[in-house]
Amino acid sequence: MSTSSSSSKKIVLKSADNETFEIDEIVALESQAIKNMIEDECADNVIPLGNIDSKTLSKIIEYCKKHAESPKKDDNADIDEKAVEDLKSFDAEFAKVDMPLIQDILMAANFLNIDNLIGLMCRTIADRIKGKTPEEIRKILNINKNDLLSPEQEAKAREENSWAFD
Amino acid sequence: MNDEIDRLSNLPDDLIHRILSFLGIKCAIKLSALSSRWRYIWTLMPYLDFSVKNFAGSTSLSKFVTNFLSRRNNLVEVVSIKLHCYRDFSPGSLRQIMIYASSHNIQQLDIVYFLSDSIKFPLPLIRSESLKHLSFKKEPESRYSNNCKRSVLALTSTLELPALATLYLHDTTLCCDGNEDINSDTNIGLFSKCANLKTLTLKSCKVTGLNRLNICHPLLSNLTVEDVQGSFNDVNVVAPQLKNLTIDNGLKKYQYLISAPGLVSLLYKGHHCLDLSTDGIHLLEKADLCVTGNASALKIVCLFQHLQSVKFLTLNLEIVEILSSHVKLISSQVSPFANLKCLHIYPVKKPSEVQNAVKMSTKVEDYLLDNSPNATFRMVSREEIEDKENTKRAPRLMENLRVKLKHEKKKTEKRIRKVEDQLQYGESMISVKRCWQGLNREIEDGKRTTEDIVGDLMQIKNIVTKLPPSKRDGMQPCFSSLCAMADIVVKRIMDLVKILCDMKESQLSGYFYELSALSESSP
Repeated sequence: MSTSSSSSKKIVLKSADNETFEIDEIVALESQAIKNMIEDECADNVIPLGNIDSKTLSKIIEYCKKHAESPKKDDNADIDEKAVEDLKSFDAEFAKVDMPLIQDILMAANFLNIDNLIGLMCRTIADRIKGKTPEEIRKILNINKNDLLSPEQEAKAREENSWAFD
Repeated sequence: MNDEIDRLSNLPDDLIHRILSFLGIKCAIKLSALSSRWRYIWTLMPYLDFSVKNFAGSTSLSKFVTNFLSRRNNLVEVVSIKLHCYRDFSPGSLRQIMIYASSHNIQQLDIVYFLSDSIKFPLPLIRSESLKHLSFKKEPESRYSNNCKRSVLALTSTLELPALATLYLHDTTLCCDGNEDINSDTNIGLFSKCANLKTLTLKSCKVTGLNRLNICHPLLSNLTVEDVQGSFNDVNVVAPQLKNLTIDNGLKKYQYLISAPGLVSLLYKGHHCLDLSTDGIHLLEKADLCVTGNASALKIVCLFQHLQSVKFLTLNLEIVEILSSHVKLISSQVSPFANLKCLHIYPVKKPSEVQNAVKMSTKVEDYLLDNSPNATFRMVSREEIEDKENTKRAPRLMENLRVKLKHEKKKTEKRIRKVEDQLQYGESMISVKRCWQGLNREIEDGKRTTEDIVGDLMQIKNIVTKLPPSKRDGMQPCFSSLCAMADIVVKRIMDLVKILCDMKESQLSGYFYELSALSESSP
């Protein structure tokens, strides 16, 4: 599946900090939200994305490009395993970024409705907090300090949930 | 870091649930101590996965699930439940979960069950309006439990699941006795009220009280019937949208009446030839037939008549051999396939299982391929398959033997050291009988080990010599080194026996020396 860039239609995305990205339509279609906009013909040549900064957006475009190029699963039941492996290692590399960026990508992917990417980011967050103590997790996720439970409340929560751990 | 915003807590619930789904239910409960945002989020989780193995170790899973459901927010729907029941799971809890699921608008239910007692599908579940996907599989280990054989998961009335798209039933008893609805002549089957059913799989199911199994669905696209047994003789399939059909009859013989004009792929496996009548399957592209018993050539020819449009045909060699021994019948037939692109023939039986192998007659080849001159034809012989398997098997056996030889060598050296120690301390003989017994045991052990090693070497040699020279030559160095190793091990076993003999001899002569003194014998 090669995408001949000369003949295919282009879409321009504009980030919150006013940077523009010109991409092939097929890449943009990885986003269900953009796909709907194009199908409903309410997409102009430039699609403004007021809540996504250019750093996050360029990461998302990198992801969509790779996934648009790869053969889809339902095309052929027995596509070569190499392509699947290739995509897997791409995903693993892609997720090696710091937590704030992961959370930005997750929110943007949620907004753009890119299901695979949402799944990848959720799994990455889960992997990073797996087996950690609440204190460590609060740090990793930068949980809002005003939102913390008081020591009494925390003890009560533990007490209430003790049924699950005996 | 302090001015970073807490992005995660601002996420919508469904994303947090998705993160939690990767962490598991227990971890989700633990996270309630994180902050007030996370405090009760586990009680709202819509995807419940109780299939993780780490549940088995802690509290009993059935108790956990009961507790969890009673503490969960009862107003929130459950989208999916996955449950893996192990040995200690109570059938009562299983029932409770199914009822809870159906009263919370469940869409997807996957259960791997282990039954210590028979249960029926609860009525609310088989009347659920929301259920889209239902799968019941038997826990593999339960096959070894005697208790489980007698307990059944029974479906006793018609499923009324208007939204159901996928149904997978494994080792379930479908009871149709005494059910007027299902048993009457006009019946259209147990699943008739699942109008949206697209994929139906019945595996190792038992059907009672039916003389015909009816599967009639306007939207059914995939159907698998594997090892389904029961009182019926016919299977009647009416499915205008059916694309893929898989049948595995095992040893049973059923008649299939199939009305599926859109069928694209047909996979059949059985002892008998597929007995098929149909009003035409003209879109068929792929057929894979495997008949392992002594089918009649005429039946096979009749079956081929139904498969005329097929493009990719796979047959087992045994079918071709049946045809090859009925050349007369074949030569009067016109080649049935006009669109073949690829014909693949492979053997199911091993060379040793076939006494009088029939060579594929050129008449049969003509019969299969005459009308499709451009088809590619690939045939794998039994010997090729066996060579392939043996090429994989020989290195594995050699590696096993190498490990075994190393172990034997170590064991023998240890024995030798021990005997030499005894010799040094000049241990005296305890009794004549035990002296010979010890020697005998060592010789018996040595004999067994030697026979074992030689047996393994012979087996490997047998396999390797049958391989083509190119493969065989590659294995020569490895095999030679194994033989050399075996030689050393057996030599050391002999050494052990020799040392023992010497020791016993000197012990005996000491004994005789003591015996010879008449005057100083004890009182």
